[in-house]
Amino acid sequence: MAVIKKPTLRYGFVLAFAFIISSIKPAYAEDYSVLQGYTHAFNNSVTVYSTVFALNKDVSLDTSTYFKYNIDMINPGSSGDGGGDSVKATSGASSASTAGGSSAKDTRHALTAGFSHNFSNIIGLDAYYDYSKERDYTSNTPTISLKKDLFDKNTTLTAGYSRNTDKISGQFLDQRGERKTDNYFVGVTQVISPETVAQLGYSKNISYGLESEGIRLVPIDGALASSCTAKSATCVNEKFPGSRQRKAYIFNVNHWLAHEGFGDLFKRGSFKLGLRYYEDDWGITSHTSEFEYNKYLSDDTVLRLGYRYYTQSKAYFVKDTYVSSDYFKVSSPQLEEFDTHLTGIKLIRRLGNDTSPEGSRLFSDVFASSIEGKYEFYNESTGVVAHIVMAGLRFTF
Amino acid sequence: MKKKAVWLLAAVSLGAALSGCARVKPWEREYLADPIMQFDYNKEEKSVKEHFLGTREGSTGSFGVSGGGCGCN
Repeated sequence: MAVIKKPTLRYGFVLAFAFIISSIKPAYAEDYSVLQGYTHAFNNSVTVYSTVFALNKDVSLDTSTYFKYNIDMINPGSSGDGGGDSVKATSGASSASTAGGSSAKDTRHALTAGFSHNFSNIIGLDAYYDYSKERDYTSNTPTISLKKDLFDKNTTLTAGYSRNTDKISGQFLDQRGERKTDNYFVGVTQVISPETVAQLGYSKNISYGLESEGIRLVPIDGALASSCTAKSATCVNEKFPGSRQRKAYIFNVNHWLAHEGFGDLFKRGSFKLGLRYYEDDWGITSHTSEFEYNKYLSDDTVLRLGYRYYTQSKAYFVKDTYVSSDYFKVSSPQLEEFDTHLTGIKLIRRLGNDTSPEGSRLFSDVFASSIEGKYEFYNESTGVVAHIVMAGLRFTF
Repeated sequence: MKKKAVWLLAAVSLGAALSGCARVKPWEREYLADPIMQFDYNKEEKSVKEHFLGTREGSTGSFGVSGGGCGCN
């Protein structure tokens, strides 16, 4: 009898799940599917091409199912990165180029499957499983959350837990390592007025095990980073603390714009504000401010303008240079002190009309309901710059 | 013990504050139900964005509330 490998079984299970939920009838509201393509192009010639396919299907009045497949293809530039910041792009682990310059292609596959169920309008349950794999990294994350509506659905309480298990086999590791992470979150969503809704949340994240990814080397005792292409007496593996505790506090508010004047700039649109404060026991604190302006240019077209500012401090054990006697040694650019800016514009066009409000009929009961495209510009105070382009289609059935 | 008492007091105060908020009736939630007012209408795009930012920034994870309602029907 042929031996079936575990990853094949996982893919098979998720694809079977997707097939089953796609064939269940009848259709209710919230049935949709999306197909999106992304390009993240960095200023060191690394480009990541991503595709996302997702399917959300109501199987009953109280239950909906969800499936998503995401593929990231990382392509380093032909010139390589020449050392310095090794761009992790959109990969969970593999860097397109390691400290010292050699570059490698990589592909990340990620699958998500889950369901939501409403128990007689008393409490709601969401349960999901995320699986991702790339050359030197696999990740498994089951998530469960409960949702409770109060005060005529003016208040929603949410609490959830996820358990993440990462298996890491970076090229510089002597043996495969593992990291486990417990994530807890609670939140409340509150309707403030017919035009305003706000959200408060708190999450705590505890990880332990191998905190390194094994893809970078640290030059010590005066060695140059550009010379660290292989392990030696002066090019050593990163050494992190054995655990990490993180906390994050978030506040979001969405407000509908219904004011006359300024050429209808503040009419039939929305303004969103998001704030996040983060701290961990590695000494990193960060502040995130995010603004978004949405405006109906017509009944069928929405314009979105967004800006995000992020700033973080460095980990307490980060140094400019290391010597062999230093206990912790890292070369991860993520742990440095820096700021980032993300600015973007997006257009969404609904494809329906008076005769076919669901959208453009493709076949049977499947309609292309909207098309969207966005451009974002990302830059860090470290000098990393990225252009992000997205195009997507949304289907209803 | 003191820390627990502070958290309990904060939770009770938050509950009291929330119950005192204006009750918006279902027929008044037209705007709240609009896609541009949702926290996670395009969760696929949000997921890709959070993953990208998580690979660049040191405060990955703990991005926020999952599954919070919009208050709309």
